[in-house]
Amino acid sequence: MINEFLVSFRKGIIVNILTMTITLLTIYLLYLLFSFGIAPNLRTFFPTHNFDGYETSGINLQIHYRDWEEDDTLLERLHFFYYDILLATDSLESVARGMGQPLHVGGIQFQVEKFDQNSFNWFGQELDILEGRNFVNEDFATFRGYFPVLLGHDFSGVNEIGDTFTGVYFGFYLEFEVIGILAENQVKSQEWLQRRLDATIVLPFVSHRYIPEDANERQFWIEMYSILANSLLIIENTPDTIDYVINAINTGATEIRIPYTLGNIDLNVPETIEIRNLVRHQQEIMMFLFFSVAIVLFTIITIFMSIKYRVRERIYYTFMLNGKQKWKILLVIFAEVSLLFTGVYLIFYEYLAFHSGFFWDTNILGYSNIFFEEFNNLTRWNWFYRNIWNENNAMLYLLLYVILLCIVSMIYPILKINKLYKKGR
Amino acid sequence: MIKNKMGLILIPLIFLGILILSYLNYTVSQERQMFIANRLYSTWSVELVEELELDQLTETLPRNSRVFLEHTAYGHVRTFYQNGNWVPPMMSGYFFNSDTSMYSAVVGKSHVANGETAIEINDTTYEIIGVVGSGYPSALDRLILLNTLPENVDVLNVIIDARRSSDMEEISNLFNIRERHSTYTALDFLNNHTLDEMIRTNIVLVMVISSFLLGYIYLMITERRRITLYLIGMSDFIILLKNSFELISLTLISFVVVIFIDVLVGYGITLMYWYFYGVLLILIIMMYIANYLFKCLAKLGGVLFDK
Repeated sequence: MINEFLVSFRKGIIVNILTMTITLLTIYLLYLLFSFGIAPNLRTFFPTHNFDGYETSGINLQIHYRDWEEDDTLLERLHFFYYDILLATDSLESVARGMGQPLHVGGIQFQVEKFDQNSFNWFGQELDILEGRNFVNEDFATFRGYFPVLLGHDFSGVNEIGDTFTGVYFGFYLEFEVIGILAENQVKSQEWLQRRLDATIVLPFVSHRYIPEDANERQFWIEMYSILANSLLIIENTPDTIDYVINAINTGATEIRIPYTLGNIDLNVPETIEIRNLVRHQQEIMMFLFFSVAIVLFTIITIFMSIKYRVRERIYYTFMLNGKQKWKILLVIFAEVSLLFTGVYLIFYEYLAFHSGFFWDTNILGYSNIFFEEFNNLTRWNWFYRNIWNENNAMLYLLLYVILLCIVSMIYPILKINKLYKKGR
Repeated sequence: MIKNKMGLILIPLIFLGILILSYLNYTVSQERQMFIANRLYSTWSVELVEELELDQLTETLPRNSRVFLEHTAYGHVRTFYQNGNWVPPMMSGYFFNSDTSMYSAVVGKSHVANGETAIEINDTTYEIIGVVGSGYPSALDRLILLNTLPENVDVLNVIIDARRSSDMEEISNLFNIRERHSTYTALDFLNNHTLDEMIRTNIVLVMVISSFLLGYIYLMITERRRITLYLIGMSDFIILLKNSFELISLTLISFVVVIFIDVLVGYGITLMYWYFYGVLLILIIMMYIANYLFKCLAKLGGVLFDK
């Protein structure tokens, strides 16, 4: 039996390798398209935050700094830019922006989210706390030599309230104290997208308006205030206000020699529904691509497998002439087909396990898993999207696809062998 | 001409055509999103840092590149020149071309909300010839593009852009430039390059391997016929030619079917589609010939391949 299998497998080794390659490519592509394009509750950026009080106004402006003049006065200029220009501009409603520098604790990287006082007032206050407390105004007001932090839900049971630890952030050693642990599935809404905070350490931007003597410490605060200077501004959406804010920032920034560009997201809050339509449109395109890939490769692979059988018919004739039973020959073919496909599936599974987080956890798109509750409530496919068509089932669907490939690839050989045996009798 | 069992080739070919169609639609859509989300700039656009006379700039501009002179800090009002035929995502009207009159403007939809047909910039009246942007609110809504630089206007930034990122090398040789910080917007996930490149590379790979497999399948299902033709004295070359001709016919049939599907779905991708289909056709035939030669070699070598 095993001998027959080996003969059969070895004879078509080139073709087998080719089949495995294309199948691997297929499931990789399907996984990619499924992950990013299809599941509507996944990786879309819609806020669950309802932006109370901003229903009729609100425009986002994204500031980008560029080419700082690096000298001794940089930190001072950054302080001025943040406190005296950004925060003091009358029409400015909020400043909220964080950059994805990880925090290193004991050699392990942790994802960090940050709130400054303004963004906390906007987005942070409604976070549900499992243990301990949320940030309070005092946490933002003065730096007391350590950072109070909130830990995501994944840390519960591992860390306790009052724990302190040392971490490296922007290359600088810092002390942190755990003041609270978040409830499950908490998100930070920002710039129309949400970051899940379950595996995240949440830091406050603690106000620190003096110039440290130590060069390292100074560099650290330069980095912190650079983030604040790269802010997302949410301002009232009238042409006058926009021009006023732009001019104020422009004049102020020029005075203190901080060149900047204002990136723009001209999206009005009430019109997010339009963006949803756009995203749905894009998802439809990806879905069409997904099904095209699935169908074209399904057809080609199954036809190819059947042709492969025809090419090797003679081996099976030989087995027949040697008096092998029908089921044994079928078993040899089945073993080969299933070995090919399950092999491919396992390789892919291992690849994902090895790169765990490559798709789901890290910020390949700049944001992690997002659940679009509002969309789900709107659609009559709610149940379907939540329970069937979601990312948790992606691997299951790929398995089903591979099993289907196996079954369809077997149809032709089974029919042929049956016919041969009938003729033989 | 087309014998039985050709369905085994024709059906995958039709599916492959549908794949090309959806791939092209994806590509076109991605490009459109990139321009809308990034204020008509590509992600490889650069900023001019030297001071140049306008004539000097437009005359030295290489083929397929374009220049935006930003008048305002926010880049809402710009003068546009190009050496090529680039057209941004348009909602209505048409974009600047050689026939356009000297004082013309292409604007975002908020400027034509009340049916305006002209716009005044620095005491000069520009005729609105087209509306740029999309149906949803975007950064282009307040944009004003002019084809002639108004008098007495300060140009704040000069942005040079090109059709492909590879064209930038020539531009960097000609001008003193620096890279721009790409604008991050909420729509960024729609033009994410890591994802985009992964998808594109994979789909192209899938197409190549599919072509190879189709060539192989075709070789297998025509085997008996080939042997018969060979036995009646036809040369290898003629058989190859005959089979290639059959493959071309099959591809053309699948092409017609896919065009029909395209009309049904309403994508309307034609020119690029022709081009892609031609490439695919050549690929399949090449793969078929490669398979054929490989098989001949294998026969010579004995047990290299299946038989």
